[in-house]
Amino acid sequence: MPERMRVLLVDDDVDFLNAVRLTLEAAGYDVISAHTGEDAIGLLRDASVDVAILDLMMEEPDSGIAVAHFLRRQPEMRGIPVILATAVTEKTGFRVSLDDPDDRDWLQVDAWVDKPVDPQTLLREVGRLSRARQSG
Amino acid sequence: MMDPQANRSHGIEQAASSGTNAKRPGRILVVDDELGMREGCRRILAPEGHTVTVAGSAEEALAIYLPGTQDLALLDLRMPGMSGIELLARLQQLDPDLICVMITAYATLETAVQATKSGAYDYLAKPFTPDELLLAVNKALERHWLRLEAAQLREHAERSLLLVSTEQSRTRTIIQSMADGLLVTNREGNVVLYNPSLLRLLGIKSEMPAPGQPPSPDLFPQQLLDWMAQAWTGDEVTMAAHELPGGPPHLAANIAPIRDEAGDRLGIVTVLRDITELKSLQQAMSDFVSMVAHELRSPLGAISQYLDVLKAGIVKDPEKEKQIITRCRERTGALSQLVRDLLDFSVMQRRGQADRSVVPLNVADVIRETVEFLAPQAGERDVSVSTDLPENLPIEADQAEMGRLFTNLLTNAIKYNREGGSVHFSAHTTDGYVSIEVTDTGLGISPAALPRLGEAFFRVKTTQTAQITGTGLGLSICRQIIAAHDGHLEIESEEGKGSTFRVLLPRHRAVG
Repeated sequence: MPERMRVLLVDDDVDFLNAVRLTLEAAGYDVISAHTGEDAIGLLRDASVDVAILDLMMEEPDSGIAVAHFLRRQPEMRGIPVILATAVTEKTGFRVSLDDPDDRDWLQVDAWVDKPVDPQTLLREVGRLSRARQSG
Repeated sequence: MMDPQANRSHGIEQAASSGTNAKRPGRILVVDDELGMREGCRRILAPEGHTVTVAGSAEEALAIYLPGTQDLALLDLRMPGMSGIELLARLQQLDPDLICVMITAYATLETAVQATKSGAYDYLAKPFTPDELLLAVNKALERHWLRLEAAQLREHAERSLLLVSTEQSRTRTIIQSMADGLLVTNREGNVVLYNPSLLRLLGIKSEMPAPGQPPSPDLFPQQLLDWMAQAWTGDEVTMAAHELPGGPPHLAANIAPIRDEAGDRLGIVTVLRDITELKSLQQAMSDFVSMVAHELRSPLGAISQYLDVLKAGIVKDPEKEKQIITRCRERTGALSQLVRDLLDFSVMQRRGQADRSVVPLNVADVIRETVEFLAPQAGERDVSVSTDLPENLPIEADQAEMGRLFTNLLTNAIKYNREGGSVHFSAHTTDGYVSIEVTDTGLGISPAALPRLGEAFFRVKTTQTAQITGTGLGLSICRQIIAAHDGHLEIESEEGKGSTFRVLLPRHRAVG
């Protein structure tokens, strides 16, 4: 039996986080979670993860983007796939697309899911990215 | 001395003269060195209603003459001492309205020309018949009255002109004082009028082109010039304001053709209005709507995510399933509270002082009722609530708003407390104010978050507060209620220890 994959989950909504955790755990993933970007970075110093699911959390200075950028700056974490989950787009009049190279460059993420996220879609994305990481 | 011919001619003259002046008596000065002539004139003229003053010499005439007291002067051309011609000059200097007729014994063309050149209206040759005298006098007086009338008319016209120019200057002053920018161009598209506000709004610091030139694209936004061109050629007149790109200041332009009575276009009038304030209100409204949408989406997203989990059958443990349903119920409860708070918030925004019923009330009673009402909520969280209030704490305030104020404060003190914590109400009266303190043993607020407390939708986000449902509007509503009562809110807090919210309310409402 292969070692269980570990997913980092960061979201400021405790219930959203719990629901996604239940989904991932039922699919056989280990989940470590944080409510803030700061806590997430703290967790990453002690534990290695295979995939990170981050909330954009635009109102926080240590947003999901900050965590994504932190991951990209660490040589040993650079390759960790990042999924950005967010519903916050209109609030700041902020619209990004992974089809846009500039946006992709800035976001430093591999996939993008809208909240609430369909459990099947989430599991498919997590599976795809974690397999790609393993083979890569 | 009667002369039938002269009489007839007098009659003709009278008949010919029109208006009311023909028989109007005049004030006549007769200056002649011959007593017979002076008295003769008086005897002829006085019966006609004229007032006759006589003088025997030019010097005497000047000595008694008062400007404006005579209409006509009959002056003998040749007198010892000062001559009639010289007297004529002096009198005309004194009184330009006086009309003068010279009397001469040597009626030659030369003397007549000399007299009229000197400013006399007419001359009368000695000897003359009474009718000749009356004829000459009436003719001169007629002329005099006409002159006076003309002068009056002229004066009237000048007064009217003055009025018109005052009106113009008033209109100009109004246009110059307008806050809106005004630009008028003519049929040729050249500037005919503009005001200082136009320059201010467009940020034109240099001199405007002199009227008569077209508005230059160096000074005017091209968009505005395009709209003006469209307004000139277009068939439809639109009253809607166009918003100019750029800013601040954000400008809206109203452009309309000026038409004459036949409907032909004479030019274009453009009014520029500063809509920066309006834009910032629109922005505030849009921000508020965005914030509400965000606040609605978080709980909806969480509930929705839980429902997806339940639907997918991911959770096998019935106990866990029950927990999820309980959380969903709590989140929908919070959504309902958000809707209630939003309504309160909107009512507070709309409410004027006139809508409040400010009455004398015992605020201690309001607090005691609130504590009683929220006792179950406190019990659930195992938070004890105590009060140390005077029996009577009279203030003048809106009862319902006081209830809402202390409900919100106590709800927060319970929600953000620790399990088994406490909330304490105390109050005292201080010069003109009632001071009410709500102290909790809760999470406390970081110094960084403290200044933002009470901003609409602002919530302190920590790992501890993540579990607590709230709308971020409760304290904002408190602040509005306190402000509406001319009160004051002070917050002291220490992270991990708790917070004190001190409400100061005036005991009496200021009149007016």
